Amino acid sequence: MSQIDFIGKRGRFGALSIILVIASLVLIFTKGVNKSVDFAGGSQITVQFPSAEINTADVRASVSHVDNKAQIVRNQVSTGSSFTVKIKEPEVEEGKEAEASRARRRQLEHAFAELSGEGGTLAAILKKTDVDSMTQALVLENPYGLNDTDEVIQSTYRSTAEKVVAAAATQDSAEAIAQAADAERADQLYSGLELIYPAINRTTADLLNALLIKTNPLQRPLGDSYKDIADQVIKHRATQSDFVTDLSGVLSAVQVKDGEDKAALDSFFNNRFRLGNYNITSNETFSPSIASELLAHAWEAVLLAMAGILIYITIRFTLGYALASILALAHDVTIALGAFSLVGLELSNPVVAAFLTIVGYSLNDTIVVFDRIRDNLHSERKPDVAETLNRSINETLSRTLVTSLTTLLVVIVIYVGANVTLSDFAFPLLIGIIVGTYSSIFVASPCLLVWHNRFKSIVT
Amino acid sequence: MRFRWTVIALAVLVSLFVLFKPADDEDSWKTPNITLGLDLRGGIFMQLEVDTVDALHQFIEEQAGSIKTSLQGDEFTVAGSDFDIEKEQVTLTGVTSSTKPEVLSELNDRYGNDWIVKQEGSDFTFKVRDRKRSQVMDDAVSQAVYKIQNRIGELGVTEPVITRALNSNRIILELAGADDVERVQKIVKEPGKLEWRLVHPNSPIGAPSEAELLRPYGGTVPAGTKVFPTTAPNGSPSYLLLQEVKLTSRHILDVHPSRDDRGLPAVGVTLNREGGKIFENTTKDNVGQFLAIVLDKKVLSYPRIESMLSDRFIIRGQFTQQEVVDMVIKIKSGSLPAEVRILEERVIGPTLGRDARNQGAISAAIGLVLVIFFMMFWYSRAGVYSVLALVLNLILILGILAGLGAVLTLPGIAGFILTIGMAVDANVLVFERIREELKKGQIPKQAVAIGFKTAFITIMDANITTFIAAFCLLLMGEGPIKGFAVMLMIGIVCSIFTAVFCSHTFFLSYLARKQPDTLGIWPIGRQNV
Repeated sequence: MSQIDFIGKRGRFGALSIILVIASLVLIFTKGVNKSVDFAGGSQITVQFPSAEINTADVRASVSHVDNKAQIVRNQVSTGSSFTVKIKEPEVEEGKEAEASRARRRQLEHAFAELSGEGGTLAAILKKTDVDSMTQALVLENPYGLNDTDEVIQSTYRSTAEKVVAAAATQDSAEAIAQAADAERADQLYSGLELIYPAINRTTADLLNALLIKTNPLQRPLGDSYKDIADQVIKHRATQSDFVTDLSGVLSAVQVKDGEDKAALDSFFNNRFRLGNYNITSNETFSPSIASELLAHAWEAVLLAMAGILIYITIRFTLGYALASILALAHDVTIALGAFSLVGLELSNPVVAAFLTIVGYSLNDTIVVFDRIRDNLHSERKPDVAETLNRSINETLSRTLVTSLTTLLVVIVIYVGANVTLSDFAFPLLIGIIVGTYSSIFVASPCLLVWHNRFKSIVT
Repeated sequence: MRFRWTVIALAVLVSLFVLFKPADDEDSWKTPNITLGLDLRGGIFMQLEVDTVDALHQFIEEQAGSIKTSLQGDEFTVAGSDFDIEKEQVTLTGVTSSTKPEVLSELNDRYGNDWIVKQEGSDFTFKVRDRKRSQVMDDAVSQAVYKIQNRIGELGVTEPVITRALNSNRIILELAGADDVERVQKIVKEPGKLEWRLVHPNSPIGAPSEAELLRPYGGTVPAGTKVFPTTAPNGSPSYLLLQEVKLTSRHILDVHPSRDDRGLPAVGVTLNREGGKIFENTTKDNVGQFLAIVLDKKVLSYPRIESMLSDRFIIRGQFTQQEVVDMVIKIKSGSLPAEVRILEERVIGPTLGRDARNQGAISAAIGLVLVIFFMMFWYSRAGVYSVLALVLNLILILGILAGLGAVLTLPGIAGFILTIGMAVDANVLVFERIREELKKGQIPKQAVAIGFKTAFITIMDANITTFIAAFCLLLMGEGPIKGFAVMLMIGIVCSIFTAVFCSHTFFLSYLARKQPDTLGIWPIGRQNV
């Protein structure tokens, strides 16, 4: 097999590497690397609508009053439409993050409700509810968090229920009803009402079960599970692409046990549930303190790994090999980070994991070459180092390429797979493996040669 | 040779057994015992921080009043009391006693365990001792954990996981299947609901079932009463209590571990003035009756009223010191909670989890097929051995994952797919080495021996560096990322075993059986060098 003169051409490839590293550093320091919410702090909410008609501009318009810096990304979905709203580094008073994120989420939900046309459904259901059943529901839910005797709690919520029913007759939005019924505690009352009359498409089986046990429409023995009913409802919902458009369709699919009155169940569902027009598929919130802590941990992990590897290679080989491989490693990570910045992706926890994998994996090929170099140097009495390096690279070339290829194959599969989290994760791996393979051929060994020529002989 | 095959067979059988062994509560061998992370099954993850400094401040503030009152009730005169939150100390001014001349030593006797007492004339400063300080802060976290545990049932979540990080004020909450953040936030932020109610006189305390409890009343709940369940694991499942709530959390000033007149552990309670009056009236008329302490609708304890009591009293029973401490934490979780902050909150809808799971499975399958085709094409017979080793590898990984009870997350699936690509690397190194030896003219048997022997060192070196990186990730990473690190580490260990030991066995077995002159290790279509 003919030899390729890698070492002889090291000047050219060295120049290429230096240009790439400098370009990456320039990109990283000028354009910067976007931080995801887990490192920046803030919220990231993904919402899904059954209608494909809604577009990014609509979502932007309706969430602009919640936060006008919010980034909106449209996700690829097979049915309907899905958007991710990112609110990073919101201006929040220290120590009030939880309240702020709660308020933010609620405001966003309202925006989604308005956008999807769900807005009036809570008001509509309040309009047809009577004082007795609302009192009972309020007592069970206890939205005000009252801690008093049963009589006081009963009478408080009865008067609240009366006011809500009265307000519902004149007002057309649930917020206005809550405001009119109890201006002082409107917020608590409103969220309480939302919990009492949940949207069927945003209810989990567990929650549904808990709500059914509390209300006990089928008069089951005290505390008996309603898991059978809840599971049937959720199962039926899944057949309707996660949105329920027709409540009676769901109810007709539900089987009750022998001797139970299904009519009671029907009226419970009709009086207590709304049809939802949007779904929150994920919601992540990070307080600024935890975000900076996570970022610091990520840096520590990368540096710790590099230090650990440096020590390991120094023990197994010598310092010259270790420094050469760390230099190649820094080269790989810098270029992958540069590419990341160029494409404008976000640095998040999974991405840091990918970078750490690059740290570990890009060394594999380098070590294969180094092992061969060491062997070859040992087997000759007076080796010509440059020639031995080149021969070693050539001898191991096919395995360097094949090992990278097999890993590259699966990384491409992860990258192409539609999941957003995973393709963000696979991208730096993709770059890292390609650059890592390049560097183990063109960077690591020349660095070793420079060390040998300038500092300390690697021939023992 | 027989030994090698036995090891392989054992490894596979053990893995399959661990993977599919039916858990206690289910009897099917079909479902693999892999715990899915919240990002794959949907649910709520929260990281909470208890404001322990706030709890300490509350403690100092309430002690300023409580030490003063306690001394005043005990032949001391105290002119005033004050506290300094920054310095973590309480100051009492003008403390004198007509009966006890040695005020300082008297105070040290009473409070020296928890406080460093210093005298300046008739003023005394109490600085909280480090031991007490960390105990107060620690208790605040325990209270928050207890409160959440006690109320989490309201959500109907089947397997809530509440973990307290060791020696930290952080609490991790993992609620698979939950979707309602609003409700979880409410549980986390709101104090528990504490009520003191009288037990229905003459009701059968200790009845083994609810039916037994209600038997004297013809099976129905008598008017003016309510049935409450208990938190105690054994004993009576429920009690019949009077509807009227006597005391609530707003009447309680302090709850602390104390001792009764015989020196046995007891729970000390201090009420405010209003609470004291109510309690006086209640206990006066009900000596000999039982009073139930109810937290979040569950009965914690039902002490008997021994005499008329007012604002300061103890609850005694056959308590151990630990039981007293636990009870104090439970009562405090409903009356004097510390502020809880939500640091991190992740809600993954069930549909997202399901989609991620399916996509992960599809990606893994495609990746596997691509690698299998490539290896069989590039290394023909040897490629088949590496594919067999790869399949064994995946079985072992899943078995170890199940055995460790590690959680499979979305990044973990990525790690699994990555492992598929990386696992054959070791085989590639060996095969390339064998090819080299064959080119040098070695006979197959010799080439295989040299190939496996020399490539082993390289394989170890290359994999250990990846292992170091994964280990750092495990140390520093959090949540789903840890799943990735674990997967990578398991994958590395398994792939060394399968790619070196198992595929070597396949080769040896083939060589012994066929004694071939050539070895099928070249790309398909190219039979030799």
